[in-house]
Amino acid sequence: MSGVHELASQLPMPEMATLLYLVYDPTTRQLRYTNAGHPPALVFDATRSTFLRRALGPPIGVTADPTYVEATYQLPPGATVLLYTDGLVERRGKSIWQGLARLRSEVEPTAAPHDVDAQDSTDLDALCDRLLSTLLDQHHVPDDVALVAMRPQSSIGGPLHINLPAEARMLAHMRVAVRRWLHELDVAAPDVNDVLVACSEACSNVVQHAYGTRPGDMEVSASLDDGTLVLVVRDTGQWRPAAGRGGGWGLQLMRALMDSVEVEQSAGGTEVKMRRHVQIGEAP
Amino acid sequence: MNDLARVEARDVVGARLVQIIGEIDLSNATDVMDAVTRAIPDDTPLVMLDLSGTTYLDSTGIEMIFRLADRLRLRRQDLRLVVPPRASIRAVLELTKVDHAIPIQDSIITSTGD
Repeated sequence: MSGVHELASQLPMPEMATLLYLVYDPTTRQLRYTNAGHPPALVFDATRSTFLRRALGPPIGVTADPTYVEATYQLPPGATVLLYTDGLVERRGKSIWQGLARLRSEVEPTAAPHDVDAQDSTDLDALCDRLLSTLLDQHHVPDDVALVAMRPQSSIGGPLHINLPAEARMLAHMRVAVRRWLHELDVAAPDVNDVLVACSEACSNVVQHAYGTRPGDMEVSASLDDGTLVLVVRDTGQWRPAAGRGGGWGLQLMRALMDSVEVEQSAGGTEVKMRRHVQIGEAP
Repeated sequence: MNDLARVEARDVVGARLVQIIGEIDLSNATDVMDAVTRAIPDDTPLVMLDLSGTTYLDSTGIEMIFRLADRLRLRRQDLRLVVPPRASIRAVLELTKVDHAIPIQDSIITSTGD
């Protein structure tokens, strides 16, 4: 932040800027943030809402030698973080505090009638649309408005769904997501390793054989029902036979590590469906 | 090499110890293999590939180990793997029968009479 301030101070223009910088760690669910004069981020879930008011410093490029500090916030599971520009909350003749209070009342579940709107709050696109239509004066928008809503996928108990570019460097990201999901479900460590290898093998096959030189996606879905894990790896490419590949350990490992492996190929792509009984909690 | 894994090497009594710390997958197996090969001088009679710090290994890593074993055999150098008994990567090594082709020991300390 201080670096940005120095840079902005050297610019040959009298502009000042506000900046809110956040880093979110999905493993610890911790938000780290620092704020240079920007309206505070709003965090809310089904039961409460709060503005992230700490770590507030002066706008960038204003004071000679500002100090910027950092604050942390533990994001509850399922919570949404809302970032926005002042155009959303500033209205002529009203204080910014009134604008913030209004924004907050819009996201609070008690404020929303329990019909269609209540459903809306689960969908981020619908949430943004609703905020824009209710908060902005349709006839006069004095400032441009930007809105960012972030909600880390809360997978506890629910299925996992991830979609990544089919590139080798994405495999580690895929494993991080699948590992976290399995840990949240309290799947025993040896089973986690087996599932991770099987999933990574299926995804490596997508990276190597599904799209040739074209870009494409790999999709991983997983669900756990009554101790049985179902893992599906999908692509929309044309499967190329693994000719010339040494060993072909990939499919062999998948079959050895999982209870069942089904490969279904069609004109629309390939789907690998794997099942595995997993131990929940540590083995007795 | 990307930051998933790093390779460290040093001489121990009678052998060259090469450690792979981190994860090996399709994104870095070739680079890890190159780094391991570079870390082995021609005149080393025994190479101990220490996988104690290897937290992820799949078929790409297995192929890497078999290729390394082939190459060392041509150079008349012996290869041994070091894998702790409870390591998460043991299942993959056993399922692919690496242990049938390459001796695996639990730690870098060679047992007496070895």
